[in-house]
Amino acid sequence: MDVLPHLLEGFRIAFIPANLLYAFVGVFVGTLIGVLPGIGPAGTISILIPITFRISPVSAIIMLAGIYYGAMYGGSTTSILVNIPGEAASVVTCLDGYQMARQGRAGPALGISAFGSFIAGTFSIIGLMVLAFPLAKAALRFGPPEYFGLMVLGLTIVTYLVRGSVLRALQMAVLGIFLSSVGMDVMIGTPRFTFGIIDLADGIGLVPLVMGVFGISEVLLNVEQNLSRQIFETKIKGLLPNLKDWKDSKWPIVRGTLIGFFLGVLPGGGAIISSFVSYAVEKRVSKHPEKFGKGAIEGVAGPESANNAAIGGAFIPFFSLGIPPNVVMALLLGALMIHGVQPGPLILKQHPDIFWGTVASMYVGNGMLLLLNLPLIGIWVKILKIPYPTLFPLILLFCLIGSYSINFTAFDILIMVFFGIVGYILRKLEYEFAPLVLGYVLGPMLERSLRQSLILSDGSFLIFISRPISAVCILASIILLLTPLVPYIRKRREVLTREVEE
Amino acid sequence: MPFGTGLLLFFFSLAALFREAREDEKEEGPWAGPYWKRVITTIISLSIYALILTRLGYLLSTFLLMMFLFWTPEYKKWTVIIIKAGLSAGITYFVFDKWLDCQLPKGIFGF
Repeated sequence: MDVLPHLLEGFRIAFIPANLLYAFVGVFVGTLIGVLPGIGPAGTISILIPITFRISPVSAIIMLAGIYYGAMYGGSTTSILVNIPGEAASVVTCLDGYQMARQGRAGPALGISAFGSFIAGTFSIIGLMVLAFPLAKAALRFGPPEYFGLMVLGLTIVTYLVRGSVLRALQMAVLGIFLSSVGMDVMIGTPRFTFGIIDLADGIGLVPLVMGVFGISEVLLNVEQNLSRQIFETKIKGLLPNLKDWKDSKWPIVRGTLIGFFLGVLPGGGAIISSFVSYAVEKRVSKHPEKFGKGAIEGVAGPESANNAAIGGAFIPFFSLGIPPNVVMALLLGALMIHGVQPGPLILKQHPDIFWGTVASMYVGNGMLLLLNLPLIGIWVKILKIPYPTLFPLILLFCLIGSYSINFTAFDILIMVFFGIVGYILRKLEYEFAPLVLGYVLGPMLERSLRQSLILSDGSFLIFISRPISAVCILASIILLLTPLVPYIRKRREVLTREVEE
Repeated sequence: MPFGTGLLLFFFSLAALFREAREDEKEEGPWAGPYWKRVITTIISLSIYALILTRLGYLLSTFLLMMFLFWTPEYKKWTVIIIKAGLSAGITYFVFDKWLDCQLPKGIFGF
């Protein structure tokens, strides 16, 4: 397969003025919501999905992908300047980034995170180009049992890597799968758990669910606190990191890129987890671990590279297997399916324009972000000064419009409010929602592949063990699930998570 | 499948219950924040909004909701609140309904 002509074709698509504009709107909106706490990429993409109905699928995914990686850039800005992670993947950046800002080194911190993100983003796009095709070729031979095994493994990994209790994460994942079974049966079309409510026949919408548990519950948690926040005033000068900064962060960027990329590929991995892992690794390999948490530039460079590299990685299973590895990818999958495009092994053959156009636009978008971020940081900081009493009604309003305009029914608003309340309560009880949403998204695919496999095997569960790929996946999942029961490994895992939190 | 997930959920919850029961000497922080009443008023106002939206139309019901939400935390001057609420309802209406053709509900008054 000749990469170059395809890539050139991709750039031709990306440089069509309309697509350039969509890429720009995407990264701009992405950075903006990355800066604003309380509304993440998942929420924004769900608001904007209805808008993409009218544009071509390539332009749609270019814009939506731009939001995703733009948010990663924006999130770090607020972490560093005001110690508020605008976005979950930037939580660890607060630890050292904010300390650097307090020492008057906000400039280099912002600079290194922008450059690190750029380098990592570019590398992961190259990785995406190289790996997507062989994987897609292999995936063409996958049958339902292999898909089932892969998805089980993905769900297991996400529950294993979530911070806090594995048991709670498992509860959330299973609850997500359960919620996904509301509505029409995927194989024979009998309504399930609809309680005679017609609006439930299509199931619970992904957008109201995601906006409820992420957006509304976040706002509810915030409004019960005192709403005035303090913003640390700092002068930003000299955005360019000096030579010593570069020397210190060279290897963290490389390591962060690799960690982010490979964790991004794994279903269930993604930007949030890879940034935590990168921080833990940097702290471990550092010659002066005591500096971490007090403004070590390595603690900014590594995680920031990792969370951007994870995005390119996440597109690999998305394009080649049709399995979304995280929430944002699940929304992108939904958007493409509305356009009548089914991501999966065949997309590379049937719609090469979508794949290459997206890849090329990611190069372009990364460049735009670098240009956009360095000069515009001052504006982002100003946006942060919008007081929360003004901001939260607007966030709620966008959630309302977003959930309404998917199906144009007010019932979806009620669903969103309901899951907002559920999310609020579960957050208080320290549950995480990534496994829930992933379980919800993978649920129907999981069920379909399970039942197709059982039809293939005449109802024998042995089919999952007799096929090598699914056997390996299921075995790996079982081992992962059993490890917390082994005291030694459990302790190691706790030490790792504690190290990051400290 | 739903039966299987139900069963799994039951066992995981049972396990969680046992674990909670074992470690009962936990320190309890304040469960709700100091302004917990706002949470309830926000939830109620959003639910009412969902009910009146198709009847009163987008502009009017959004204006009312925004007035209420801007008013709860600040208790500022009425003029400021009305301007803010009017702007947010109006601008979103034009952007989503007119510009992006999103077809927000019209309601009985026809706007």
